[in-house]
Amino acid sequence: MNMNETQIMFLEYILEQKGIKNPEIKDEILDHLIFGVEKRMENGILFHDAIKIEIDNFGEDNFKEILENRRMIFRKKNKKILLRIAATLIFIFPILAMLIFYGNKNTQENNVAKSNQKIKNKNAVNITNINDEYSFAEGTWKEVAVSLKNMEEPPIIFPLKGEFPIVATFGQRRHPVKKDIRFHKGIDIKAPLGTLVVAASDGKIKMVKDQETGYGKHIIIEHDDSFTTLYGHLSEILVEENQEIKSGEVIGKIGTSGASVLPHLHFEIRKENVNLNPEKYIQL
Amino acid sequence: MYYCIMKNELLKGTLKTILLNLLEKEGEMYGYEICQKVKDLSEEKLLITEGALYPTLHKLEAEGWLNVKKKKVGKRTRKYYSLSRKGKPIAVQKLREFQEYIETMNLILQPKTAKS
Repeated sequence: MNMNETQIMFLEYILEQKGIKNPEIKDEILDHLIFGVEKRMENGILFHDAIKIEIDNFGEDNFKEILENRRMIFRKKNKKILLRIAATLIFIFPILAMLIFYGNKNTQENNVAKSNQKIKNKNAVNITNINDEYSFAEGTWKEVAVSLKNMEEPPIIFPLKGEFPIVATFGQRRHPVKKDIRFHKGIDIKAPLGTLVVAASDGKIKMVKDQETGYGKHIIIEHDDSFTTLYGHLSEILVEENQEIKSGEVIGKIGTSGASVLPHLHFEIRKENVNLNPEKYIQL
Repeated sequence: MYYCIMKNELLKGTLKTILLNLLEKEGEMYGYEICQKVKDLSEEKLLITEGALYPTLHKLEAEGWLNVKKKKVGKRTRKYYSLSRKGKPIAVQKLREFQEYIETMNLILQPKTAKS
């Protein structure tokens, strides 16, 4: 007489109540008990009674022993597995170490190769970037430079009415009067006495000074906060301090005042008290 | 009605030998089958609880002396035991040891008289 599904489930439930939850053990005990129960049911014993008898026959202690046994075996197995793993590790450690060593070496070599490649790539990228920047710069920087020049450095025109030669350039030269090597902070423009000197750019007269030495009679025009021009060795000054001036307006006349031997204009451009080469700024 | 009851510690100690030998003779067996066989062979004189087989079977399995095979029978899973290659010499050895033990016990308990 076969047990039905509900009866088997009931038996399963009883086993689970006894702590038999491991499916492997549960299946085995279940199989055993079903044999016994079915045999008793064939002999006319009721299901519930049959179950009771069979479980008693199996022995309460045996349920516990099976579970304890299982735990012990499990622990032993784990120990064995751990020992085996340890032994294996000890055995293969040198091999592993070698593999790792050589692997690393290889990867290092690879890495070196890779990094070389990377550097190459990077360089390639950089070069292309530079090229880009160049192409960008060539167009853009010119524009920027021009606009900056226009903004920060007022357009400088030739400071004399008419065309006259530059006789001394910006930079180191022998001083014409003191006869030693000095830094020439501007340019000298040779012109006849009385030639009209004009403002090189829009601005305001910052200083008008008449002195025996150095620049002699000279004018300093402030074009903005940091940008000034200087006109030296004049014979006549035709402007006053703080006077607003426009580019090309007459401010004085050529002379030979101060440390000068011939009539000429000493012309300086200063930006934040640093002298610049006027030749580079004069727009002809 | 037969009740497989075993409370005897001595018998419990010999259970390994019994199981190994049974499997050596019968080949492949499952728990309930073993229980029935023990009952038949002992002419129902050997009283062990049915459940007592299993801890011993599991121990033998863990030792690696038994091979285990699971078969689906309907919805039930039946676990078959058989001697492993490692278990075969053990079964022989255990039987010999037990026979020697019995002989020794016989010598002690039934000493031969000077006459014989």
